[in-house]
Amino acid sequence: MRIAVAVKQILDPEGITVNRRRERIFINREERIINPADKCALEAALRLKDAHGAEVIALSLGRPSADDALREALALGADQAVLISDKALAGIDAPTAAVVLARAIERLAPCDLVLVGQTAADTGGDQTAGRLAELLGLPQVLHAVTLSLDGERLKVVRLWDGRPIMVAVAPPALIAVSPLAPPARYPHGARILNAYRQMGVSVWTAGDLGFTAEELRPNIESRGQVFPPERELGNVIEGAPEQMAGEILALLRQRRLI
Amino acid sequence: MDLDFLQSLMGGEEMAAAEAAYQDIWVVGEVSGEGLTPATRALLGKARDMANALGVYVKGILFGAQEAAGSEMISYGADTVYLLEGVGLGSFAVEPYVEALARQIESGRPEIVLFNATSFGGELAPRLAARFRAPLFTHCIDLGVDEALRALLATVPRLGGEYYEILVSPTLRPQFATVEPGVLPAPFADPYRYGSVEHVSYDDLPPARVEVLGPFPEGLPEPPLSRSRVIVCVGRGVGDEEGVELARRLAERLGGRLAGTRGALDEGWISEEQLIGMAGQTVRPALYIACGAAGAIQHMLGIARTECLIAINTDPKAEIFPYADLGVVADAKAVLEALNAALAGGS
Ligand SMILES: Cc1cc2nc3c(=O)[nH]c(=O)nc-3n(C[C@H](O)[C@H](O)[C@H](O)COP(=O)(O)OP(=O)(O)OC[C@H]3O[C@@H](n4cnc5c(N)ncnc54)[C@H](O)[C@@H]3O)c2cc1C
Repeated sequence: MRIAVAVKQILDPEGITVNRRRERIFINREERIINPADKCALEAALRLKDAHGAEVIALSLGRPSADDALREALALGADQAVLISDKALAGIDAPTAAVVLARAIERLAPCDLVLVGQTAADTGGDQTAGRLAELLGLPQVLHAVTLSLDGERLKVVRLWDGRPIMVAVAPPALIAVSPLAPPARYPHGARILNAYRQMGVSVWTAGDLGFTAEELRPNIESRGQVFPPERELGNVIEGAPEQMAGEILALLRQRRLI
Repeated sequence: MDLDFLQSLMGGEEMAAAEAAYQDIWVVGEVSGEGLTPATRALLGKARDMANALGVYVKGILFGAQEAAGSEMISYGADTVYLLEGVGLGSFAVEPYVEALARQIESGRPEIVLFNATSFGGELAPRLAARFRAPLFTHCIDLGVDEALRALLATVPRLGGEYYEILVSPTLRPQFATVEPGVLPAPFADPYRYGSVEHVSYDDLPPARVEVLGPFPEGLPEPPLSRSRVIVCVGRGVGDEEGVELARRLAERLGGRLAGTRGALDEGWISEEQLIGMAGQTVRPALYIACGAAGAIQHMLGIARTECLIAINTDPKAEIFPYADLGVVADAKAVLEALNAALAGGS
């Protein structure tokens, strides 16, 4: 079995503070990590590899620093790594990113499985999986939490509006792994060294994949940011329980929490 | 003569002609036991406002011969409703649904297509967007239009909702968006609104390639507390097991989970995994209701990123109050009882 896993490198959200009053975003610690859901996808691929043997290829579209994300994937157990990186890809939008990834995956053909993370923790993007499945002509299983091979078919427990259901699909297929799926293992020390010293990351440019700069130009623009109101703390009220319950429910409605 | 200028003018005209070919706002609806889901109704209300601004129609899409839900769509703002029918459109499956919708979009050429950000919408929207090489804005919390550009303005969450960004695609059509259920205001229904419900049937749709084997038999381990949107926390001040049970019931009603302080752990009311704070878990829920928790710093460290903190404590000087969006000086059990009663009453 040949499995392609797409991993995105993101800025660690824990290192970012949003100041609502000043309407500014502060990056306190510029640490780049593998997007958590993508890391779960990698783990899912490695579990299939452990159980049945597989060739796992990690693929990333990003800046040159994404090399670290791919070395981490190699250290965790991926067999090959491909970095799609090019100045022409800077600022790429979601529709085009999916087209580029799809072409790279076609270049890795034949893949039995394409695994991706369901959502991106930074942009909140929740569309690459479905787009890739469509562009590659594959069936899709989204929000997957566990995968197992059952004969010729893959059995997947997935969440449907938060509730687990079991589905089956025959490869080739695309599976989007939920960030609620089992987290990744820790890499073996020796493998980390290996990932940097002995294993290689192939770098593909936009040109290698046959794209011109014109085709990659973003078509989506930002009109600015909106910050939720700053919290006002310390409002204390007193009264009969029913009245207090009423006040609590009024606040919950106002904040659209119920 | 400025050739570039002329060219851009002609290009501009061509573009305007192409844009004119895409019009109307479509809402792909969902139906539950009692008719349209509340999120679908709210989406129709929003679509109506935007359509009025653009001077176009709202068209609803439903799968199957759902006439009653179709009329309901009209009462909430649709001018026309298409009921898509055909072999394969009985129960949900990605391939036939995507194909039927894609054909409908190809012939109807909407400028905006809206879905709920549910599993249903999440399965269909990205595939359709890819097919039309179109923009898709996911999990929007608000929508608007730029009337000059005739473009959708989509407000999407960043960093899990720490802030939002307004995105626009000036030229690509159609534009797709999924909207987070529960964020748009509920519209009023006008049962006298006029509109038409049309049946559209599709044959030779592709078969489903994913087979649903049924609900997962053993049930999944619960997601970690750190992912919960709502947490009800018990401290020693909740009094007894009965108080804990009331808190558990409230958590359930709000779709959340029960957790507690060290005080509650020492009383044996919660398990180690439910402890919040320095020695336990760090969480970042949208809502945290602390019942009889003192607000010790070791506890508060675990909830620093809560969006909305409500604290119930009998002591007006309780340490927790300065951290709370709303502090309630009252007996925790009594307030929990009243909350449960009010929510059970369906209000
Ligand atoms: C190193 C260290 C690590 C720690 N880590 C943690 C941790 O991770 N998590 C944690 O929670 N604690 C931790 N603690 C313990 C922490 O300091 C507090 O002791 C603990 O949080 C107190 O729990 P409590 O609020 O439930 O109980 P209490 O301190 O007993 O407070 C009970 C509160 O309930 C109120 N109350 C009483 N009756 C009622 C009523 N009828 N209705 C409403 N309110 C009422 C009281 O006014 C009081 O404020 C740690 C301590 C140390 C030293």
